[in-house]
Amino acid sequence: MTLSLTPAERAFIAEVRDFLRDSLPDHIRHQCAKGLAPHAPDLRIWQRLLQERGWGAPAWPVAYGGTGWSLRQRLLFQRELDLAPAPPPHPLNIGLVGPVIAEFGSAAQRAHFLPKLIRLDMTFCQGFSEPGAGSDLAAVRTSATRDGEDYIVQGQKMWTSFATESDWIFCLVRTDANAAKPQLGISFLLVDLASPGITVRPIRTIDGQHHVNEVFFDQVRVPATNLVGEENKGWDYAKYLLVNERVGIARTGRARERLRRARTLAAEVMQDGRPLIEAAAWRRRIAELEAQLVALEMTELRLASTPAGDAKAMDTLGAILKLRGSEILQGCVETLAEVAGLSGLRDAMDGNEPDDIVDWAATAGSSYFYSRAQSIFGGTSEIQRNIIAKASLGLR
Amino acid sequence: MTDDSAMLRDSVTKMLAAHYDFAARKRYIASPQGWSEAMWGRYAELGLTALGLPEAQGGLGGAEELAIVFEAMGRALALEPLLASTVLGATAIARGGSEAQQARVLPKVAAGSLRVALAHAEPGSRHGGAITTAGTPDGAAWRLAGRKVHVLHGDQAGLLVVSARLPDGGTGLFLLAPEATGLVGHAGRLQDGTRIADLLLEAVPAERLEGDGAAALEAAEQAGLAALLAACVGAMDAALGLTVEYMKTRQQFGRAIGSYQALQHRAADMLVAVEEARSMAAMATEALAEPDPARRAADLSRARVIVTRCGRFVGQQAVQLHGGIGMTEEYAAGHYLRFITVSNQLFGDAEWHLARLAERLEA
Repeated sequence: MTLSLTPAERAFIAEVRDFLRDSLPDHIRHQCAKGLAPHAPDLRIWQRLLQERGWGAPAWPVAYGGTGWSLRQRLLFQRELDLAPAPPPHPLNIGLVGPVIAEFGSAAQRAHFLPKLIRLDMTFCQGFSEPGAGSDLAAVRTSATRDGEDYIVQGQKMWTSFATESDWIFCLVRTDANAAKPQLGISFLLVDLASPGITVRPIRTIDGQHHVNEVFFDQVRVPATNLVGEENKGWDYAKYLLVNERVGIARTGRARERLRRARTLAAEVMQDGRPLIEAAAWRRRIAELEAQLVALEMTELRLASTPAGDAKAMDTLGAILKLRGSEILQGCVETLAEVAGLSGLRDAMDGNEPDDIVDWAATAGSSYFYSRAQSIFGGTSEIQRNIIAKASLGLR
Repeated sequence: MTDDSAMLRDSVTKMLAAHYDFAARKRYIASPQGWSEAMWGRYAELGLTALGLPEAQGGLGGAEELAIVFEAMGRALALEPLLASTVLGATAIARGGSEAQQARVLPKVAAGSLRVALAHAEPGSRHGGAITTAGTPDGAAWRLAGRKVHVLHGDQAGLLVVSARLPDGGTGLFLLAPEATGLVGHAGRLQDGTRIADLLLEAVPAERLEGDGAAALEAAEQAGLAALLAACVGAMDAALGLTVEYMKTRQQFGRAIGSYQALQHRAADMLVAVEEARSMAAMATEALAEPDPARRAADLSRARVIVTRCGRFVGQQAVQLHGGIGMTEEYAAGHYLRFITVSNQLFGDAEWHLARLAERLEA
């Protein structure tokens, strides 16, 4: 294993950069530069562009449109997207549900869903968390009860991104309330959001935006053919999905992009009659963050270079990457927000206008507030520490 | 704490408990005004709008009373212009205005019937930068030209106090009417809901406050900082209380999350931070009476640095320990973080104050 990039990897990076320079639409780049989540229609436009280039689903099996790239290549690709900055391939379709259907779905499901997923002819959102099942995901209570050829789904999902714009939702549902362990009574079910009995309620977050929703299921009838894999094996598929996600989980490219902007902005913002970047304290702060970021990038490369099959090493490094990735990204976003100061803390809603600050920095405060979710979603920092303590160190 | 102080704290706490729960605050923030006129009336009735003003102008009490009131206001995340008018605007006029100027304005401010705002920050420059807004004599009066940004509650003030550079290079403070010719205001708000205005001044007629503008400005900002730090302590304490309640009720893995020692220690660290901040906010309030300007400034800077650090930790952890629910608009936890974050950028951020302290460090 080597941490320096091979000539082939450098050539690959150059190829990705060329593509991004030529193909990434300005308005999408700009939305990402503001630190805001990409709009759903832009994700669609972008996914199609990636797809046309053959890069629509890097991690998928080649037969369904994957690239056959190594883990390191996938990592380098994501870093370049984040640095551009560009959105990733559709996070729900490509990053989460696609690989599960490809691995565990029936032949009919693979043939039906995967081509639609990669082209975004159909978009999925995720129905995992519930009001009573956050960190304790195995406590899901939304039930799916078999009724002839169908399941009847009853319950509520929470923190569902893009629920208002998606066509389908993939859910963890309880199919056996009496299982020996809660994990053993969960199934993985695909549900058409147009089904009667589904209500979506938007939740506004503290950055003033609408990212997430509650999804209510009231006696929703779902064909049993939409069950992925076997009944009561859903927990295994969910774990596969989360492991699959962790190669790029640290978002080092995004942190680097944020930090770069903090530096750029600090050269423009004046304090005591000179640019902020000339103040030693700010230079040290940025330098310190960058050193931490490089440590994270190296750890990330080590994970991507770990031989397949070394599950324990992968689990430990994966948890470290999520934990430190959250902290370092939050640190970079926070630094950018503090460089922007009050100018970045003006409410951009309701027709309020920014002052003279460059427009991508006017949303720095909003982006900072949203960044606090980084250490909550996808397994909180506390859960990552539990994984490290229990699985890696054997402390119980 | 004296009996009078305890009474003041009780009456303010009672009033806010009755009229300023989180649901009421949501209504106030959603109203066109962005805060509650009825609450302002209650503040005036209790004499809060007179706190810290000179007794001769209808004022009562001083910094200690203001700190008591602001801690309660921070706890409720109150939106009214008490900091903007009663502390910043009124202090600038009390310290910079002649007897006659004070007598004309301050009794109305003390009674709550007139709200004033202080306009000092300018675009493209953070705290401590030179003022570029220019004051030019025009017969017996003056004219101001320049731009001011994020003027706290500058959108609905009855009278503006504006800082400007004098022809001799010094700093002057000026009174100007919001309807004055040549003044264009643009209303907005900060992420914590605080109303602001940006002002464009084109040869606006203004009246100069006759005293030392720079000293009055400093006094206003220092009084503002001390009050704001007290408000931060109130917000931090409330955020901790809410978080601990949540930890006792939220169940995961079959038990209350507050039963996990790792989380107990986090909450304990939050309490440590609240108490550290409380000590420094109290010191900041007392420092306002310190006659030596260097010592006064140093104490206020130390307080700003510590309260920023503690406030950031408590605000962020309040959200973290709540999990997803802490990220929502509908729930109070995230709003404490918003208030603390905005507060940390007013009157110089921690880095600015730390740089001042470092410069003056004695070997």
